[in-house]
Amino acid sequence: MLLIEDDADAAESICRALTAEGHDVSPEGSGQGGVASLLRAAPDLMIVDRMLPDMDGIAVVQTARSSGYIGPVLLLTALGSIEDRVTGLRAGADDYLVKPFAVAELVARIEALLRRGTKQQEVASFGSIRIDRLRREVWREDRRVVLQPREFELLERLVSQNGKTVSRTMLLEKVWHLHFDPQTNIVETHMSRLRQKLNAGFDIDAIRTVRGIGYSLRADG
Amino acid sequence: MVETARTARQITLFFIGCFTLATLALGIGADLIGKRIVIEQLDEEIAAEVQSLLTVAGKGGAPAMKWALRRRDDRGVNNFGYLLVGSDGRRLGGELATMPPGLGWANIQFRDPDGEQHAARAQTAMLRDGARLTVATELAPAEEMRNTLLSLFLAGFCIMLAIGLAGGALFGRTIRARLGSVTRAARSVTEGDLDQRIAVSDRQDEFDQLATTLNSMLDRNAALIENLRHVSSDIAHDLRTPIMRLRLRFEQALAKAEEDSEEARQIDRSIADIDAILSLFAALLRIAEIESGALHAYFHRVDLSATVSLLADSYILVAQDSGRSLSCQIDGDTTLIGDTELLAQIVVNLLENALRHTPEGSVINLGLTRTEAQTILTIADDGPGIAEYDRERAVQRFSKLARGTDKGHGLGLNLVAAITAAHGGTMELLDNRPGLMVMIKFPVGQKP
Repeated sequence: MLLIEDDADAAESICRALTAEGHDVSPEGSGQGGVASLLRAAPDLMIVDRMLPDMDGIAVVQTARSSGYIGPVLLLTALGSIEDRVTGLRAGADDYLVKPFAVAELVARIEALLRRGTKQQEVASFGSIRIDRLRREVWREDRRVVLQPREFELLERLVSQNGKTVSRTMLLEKVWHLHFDPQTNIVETHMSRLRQKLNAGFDIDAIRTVRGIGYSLRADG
Repeated sequence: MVETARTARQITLFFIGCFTLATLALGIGADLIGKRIVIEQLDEEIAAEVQSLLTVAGKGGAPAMKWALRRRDDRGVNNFGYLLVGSDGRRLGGELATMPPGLGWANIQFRDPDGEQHAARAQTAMLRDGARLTVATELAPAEEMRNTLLSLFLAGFCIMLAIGLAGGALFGRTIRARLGSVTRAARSVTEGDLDQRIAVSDRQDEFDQLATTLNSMLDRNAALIENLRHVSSDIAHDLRTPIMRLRLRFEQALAKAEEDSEEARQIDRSIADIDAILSLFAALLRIAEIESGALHAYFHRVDLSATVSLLADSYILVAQDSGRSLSCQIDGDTTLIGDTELLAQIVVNLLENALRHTPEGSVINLGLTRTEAQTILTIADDGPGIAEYDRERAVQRFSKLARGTDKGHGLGLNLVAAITAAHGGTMELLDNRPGLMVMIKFPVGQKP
């Protein structure tokens, strides 16, 4: 995993968190160094800061793409404007995170990006939950659970992440297409209904709330 | 553009109208004067002929007169016709075939040898023996001259009218072309293309002066906006980077702190405060970005019905959980040129406001209606509403009206207003009797 970030403090925190999750991260402090490192050892994933001292992070992404790099790219930016996000995604980035962010949010997004390449099975399961993506049907153990469309989409995101945390903002983006924080209970409301339906008749909560970040499925649920 | 064309056409038509009236007045005047001059001339000639014949009669009496008339008629040397009638009414001489007119001047009709009627001017004088002499001359040649003049005049008038119309059209097209480039450039700049400028020709005429002035204004605007962007991004970098470090350190401290300890709670609250500052900051930058018009470049056709329906479905449950109810009437197939996410933000902000500022048990109505000319989005509640004198203030930045508990940063309605304006729409706060109704109208079928 390649991290191109000029702020040493931020880079250190990110490296520590990702290493703790079992990832191998090599940090670079400049755009040029990053590009050189990219060409030397093709990484599985790139994290690129938008504002580098020597070049624009967008240019790094474009260089990476034009040199044939097809892995996922996550852009970090302090700008946070809509135009900035659109140009970032158009340049070839796969995801985009505005500074400052919770490190756990970054970890969750990286897990999602790494999982992106894996082929999605029609029927997938995690713990006691099984979903049929095509028929949009859900079972917990042998019991059929009937869900509303939004509830199914939430669960589908959780199942796809295989027990890893899915952040609240990722759910807002993927399920409701909202890239801003509406300061709303929309996720909580739907998650609580999903929980009620999944947990009816079971002792263990199938969904774990990761405080301040989001949700994950329990492997033992 | 359409306005310009109309103005140019109106100016042209106005001038052609004035020109036509003036020319007609001139023509009629010239014709009347011309006619009078011709008649006067004819009268003079007739009077001279009458005088000369009276002189003949004075010298030689009736026989001399008859002889003179015969000689004149036979030779056909002039344009006069003669009639000499005795005091008993018998014709004594002359070949003019007409009823004898009264004494003095008259306009008469006579018949030529072919039997055709002609108009003529005549003077009749009485001789000493009571006979009456009438000398007449045909009006036709004078009329012909008048008609020829009239035709010439009409032809000239038509040519001038054609030149006037062509000139007007050219004038209109020139104005349209010159102002068109101004309009196009202004529109592009409004849509966010700050580099667009008005073309300046070498003529250095009034249009070029206007273009140069407007261009320098646009230069200055662009520089200011660019400066603003720089400041925003500088602030973004210089403020967010240290806040990023601060937040990271708090996170690390939180990881080390004992769970549920006072320390952990304090750190948690500090992180929440940092996030609140950032959310306020993000909202301010977003309003500035929307108001700059730079986002027009990313606008596309948005299925507004689908966007609103998705949010409405989800918010029905959110409202239920908070002890309120949301009912929706959404027309299908409503589209708009804009940004999906910004339009979604309007709906989210207004629904959140409605949930936040109404007591439990309130009913919220969400409507999306499409008329021929407008798409109308309404969000109404039956809560306490906003007093009329406070409504304007409610839209301003950081306005916190005393409406229940407010956990927002006071930018919600301001942001909604900015997004609405960026989409060419208007926002109104109305009295829902009771409660508040926010009504947003977007024009249909035109780019904002």
